[in-house]
Amino acid sequence: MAQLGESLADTGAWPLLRSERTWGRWRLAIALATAAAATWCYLIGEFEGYYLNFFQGGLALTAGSMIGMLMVLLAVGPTCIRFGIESVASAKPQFGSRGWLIVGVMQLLSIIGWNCMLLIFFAKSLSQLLSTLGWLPAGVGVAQIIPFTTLIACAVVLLVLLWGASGVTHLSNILVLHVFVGLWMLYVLVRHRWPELVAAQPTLAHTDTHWNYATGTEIGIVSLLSWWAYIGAMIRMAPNGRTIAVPVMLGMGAPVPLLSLIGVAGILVLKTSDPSSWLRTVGGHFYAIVALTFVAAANFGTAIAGIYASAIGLRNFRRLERLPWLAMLLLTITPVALIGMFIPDFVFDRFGTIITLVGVAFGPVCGIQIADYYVVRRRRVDVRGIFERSPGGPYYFWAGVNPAAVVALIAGFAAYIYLLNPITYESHGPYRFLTASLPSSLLAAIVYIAVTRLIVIPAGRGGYGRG
Amino acid sequence: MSEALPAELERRIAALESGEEAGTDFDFASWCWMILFGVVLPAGLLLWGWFG
Repeated sequence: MAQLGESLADTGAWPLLRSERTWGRWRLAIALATAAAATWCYLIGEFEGYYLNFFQGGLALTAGSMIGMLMVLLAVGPTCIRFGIESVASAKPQFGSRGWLIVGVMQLLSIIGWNCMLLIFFAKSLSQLLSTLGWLPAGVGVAQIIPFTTLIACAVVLLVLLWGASGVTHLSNILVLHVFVGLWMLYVLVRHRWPELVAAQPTLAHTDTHWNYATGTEIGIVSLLSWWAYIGAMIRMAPNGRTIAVPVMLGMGAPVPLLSLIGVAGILVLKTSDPSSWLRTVGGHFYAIVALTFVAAANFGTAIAGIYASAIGLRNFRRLERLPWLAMLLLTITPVALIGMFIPDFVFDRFGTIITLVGVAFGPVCGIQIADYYVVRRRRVDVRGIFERSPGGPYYFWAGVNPAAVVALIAGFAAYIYLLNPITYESHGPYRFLTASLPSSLLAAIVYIAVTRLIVIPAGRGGYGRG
Repeated sequence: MSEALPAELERRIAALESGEEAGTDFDFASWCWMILFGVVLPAGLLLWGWFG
């Protein structure tokens, strides 16, 4: 593989050795914050603002976000940090040497969905910026150039990632400044509209205040559960658990709710979560340009992290292990480019469904991984087994699939959908007190433990006791 | 029956198995931070938001 990055291994799914994992706390925190802070925060905030006022919305969203971040960190953190592997590989002891495909596909779809949203948001904002600056040719509208700006965005992401993890960190060192720009935008809105903000009421709030509060918390949880797909590829660049704990919780967990307050405030007071719309009314042309530039920078950092994580995840496929890094990037970014160029609004208009589908998917996965690592395996993992695919490998289970994980996943899915329908937002049962992610994750964990202890371990499968 | 792994992958796995090149799990301080930010803080915020 011809490489420009600091290590061959950081463009593959093979384990990184401790000597190669050179990111300290600050470098990791900057990379995570840059990835976390993107314009999806506005959309998250917008949804929060539909159900809760600014005070409760901010608190519920922050609480939910930190809970979701902890779930992800406990699920993938230990295995990724001990063995220098990424998220999909960390799921092999639970799902099996072939069953990992389930979470691999989930990761890929999740990142494609998020990246479509980010790059389309970037393309729209860049197009608006060009229009605001008067740089568009006569007769050319914003909508007409979105496919081109999407293509430009994808090309730049590709060029940066030719440097592997080095590309991620070098760009993060610059783009992290946008996090502070985002906080400035929040300050501007709060300072100019504080009385209205305090008085504003959400437009879609139920009469059941418990439901609203649970939904506000749930939005925070599922938004951070999305990080399951991204986090392994980044934290494996650090050498140990102590290095990653605070950067993940604060560097990745905290920026999302903080910047989402922009969206909460925007939708409550100005009926739009997009700061490039309302900043113009507050501060004129200059403020609008700042906002649009922020959007461009914010989304780039996250899209880059997402494409990187997705490409590393795809390396788990045997046929893709030795594919040149450029080909891996093209494979990962092409679906995003095509959707962004031809059907940009298809994903964009379904944001509410997408974030709850993330909860449906990754909540149970987190429950399964936490249960397996801490309760059933008691932290004993066979690193060799993660990379063995033969029937003799410890994680082969039955035909490469662990039925305990599949059954638990289905149970978790079903529980989530019963508690909260991700399309209609219709809810049942204890959702109004417990959210949907937490009970479904817990149920998946319980089912996983039960099936493992009753069937898998007695059958001598799964490598329990090894490692 | 184990399959033969590529030489470079085998080298990496052996280094990890020896312990020399493996990372370390969360320590006591890490757990304290995670519980503080992931359990205590959210609980406090939720109570504040509901009763405040």
